[in-house]
Amino acid sequence: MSEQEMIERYIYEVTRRVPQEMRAEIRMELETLIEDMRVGEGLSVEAALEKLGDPADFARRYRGDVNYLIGPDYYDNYVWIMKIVLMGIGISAVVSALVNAVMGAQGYAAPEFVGAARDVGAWVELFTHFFTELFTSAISGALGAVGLVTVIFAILERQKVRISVKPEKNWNVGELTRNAVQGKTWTPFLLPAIPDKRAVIKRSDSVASIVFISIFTALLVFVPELFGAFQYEDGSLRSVACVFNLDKWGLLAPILVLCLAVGLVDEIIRLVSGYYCKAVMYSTIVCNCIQVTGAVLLLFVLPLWNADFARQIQEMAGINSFSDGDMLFYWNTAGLNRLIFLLILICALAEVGVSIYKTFKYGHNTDKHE
Amino acid sequence: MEKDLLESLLSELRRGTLILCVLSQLGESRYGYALVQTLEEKGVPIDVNTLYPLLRRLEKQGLLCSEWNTQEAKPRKYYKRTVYGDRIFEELARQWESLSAGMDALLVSDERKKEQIKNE
Repeated sequence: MSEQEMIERYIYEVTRRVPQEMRAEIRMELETLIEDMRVGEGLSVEAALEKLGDPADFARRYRGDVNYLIGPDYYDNYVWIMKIVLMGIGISAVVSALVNAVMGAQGYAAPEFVGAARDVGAWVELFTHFFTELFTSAISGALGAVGLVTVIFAILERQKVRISVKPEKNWNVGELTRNAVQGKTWTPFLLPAIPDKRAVIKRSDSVASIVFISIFTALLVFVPELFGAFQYEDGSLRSVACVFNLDKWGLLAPILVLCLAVGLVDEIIRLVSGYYCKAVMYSTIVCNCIQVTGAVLLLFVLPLWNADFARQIQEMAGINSFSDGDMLFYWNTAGLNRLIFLLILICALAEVGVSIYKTFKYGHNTDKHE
Repeated sequence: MEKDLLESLLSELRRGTLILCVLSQLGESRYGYALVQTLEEKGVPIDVNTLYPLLRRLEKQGLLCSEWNTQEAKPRKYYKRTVYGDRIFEELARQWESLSAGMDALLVSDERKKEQIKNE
């Protein structure tokens, strides 16, 4: 490799890692710099490049990247929400392991509940099964949750960097004149107004939602058959009918989980903000749009419901047909789906409406410093 | 281990003073490599891969302005403090003086105590 080629390669390795608009200038800068180092210090090309160090590192400094995933601003909330979510996962792991063990989903006979004391072997098997289930679902659930929460916070961290960089100038000007008048860097007058009581989002509400979403998601992923009917048969509890279309579960579950995950993001943003503001409003709007789209997909495009649910229940109960007074008479009909969709839409509109109303009516007070 | 710790503490100590070092030398326009050499001669060495990105950042913050000089054989980017940069630099320098006076007092009093203990 010739010296010129070595230089070219080095510069390429730096410039390919920086934004397009910086490239030409950095290229010129580095060409001159390397030449200066050779002449000025009598270095060989190799020694000069070695002194400049790893091009990836150089490029990172040019970009001014943060080299951490979650910074101090978000760390406390990150740990806190992680605890809540993991608690939810723990609870749902226990529930799903219990269900699986009692149902004997893996094809073994659950112990006789009558006169159970005699059936020691079956009880041992039940407990073994329960703990295996518990550990596998707890570990996989926890890994998924840790990943999801971390990704959400890493994105928040980076978005905030970008958001706060942009309006900085406007904000600084106001702050500077205020400082000039008062001659101090910070005075108590700079404290932001306490948010209007009516704009405050209760932490307990958000926490409850986060716990609920975590549990519900884990159950949907691990034991979808839980949402259905069971029959006690041959000494074990057996799932006879599930409300969901489990044949297409591989397709349905990701959409359901996506809808729940955006809900989780929305709740985390609410929890971190603590009151209705623009960030919460935008997040609510985006979240509800995604969820309504998901609902359209699930209810009208894909077969979410198990079409045979009503028939399976009939068989189980030994009933021939449902009369029009029964709920199940309307099972999987277009009318029922439309009704469910209408409810989802009303809830979404109400939530978006409340967010917009509260943000504009009360939320702006918090931006003032007076 | 001890060497690593010392290294990281030292680099942390230097990092805080870097901007002041750089601003101090840019009352008149200089290009990057000349600045590296000046600082090294004065006993405050700085890595090139730290300085070049730092100059860009300070320019973006409005403390420095730059101009390409293409008159010479090699094109060079010259940096110089802006008026805003002058103001910030003066304030930083003032702060530095009081800080270093304070540090001196702290370190000297510590030295004296040690001597006292020795003498006793």
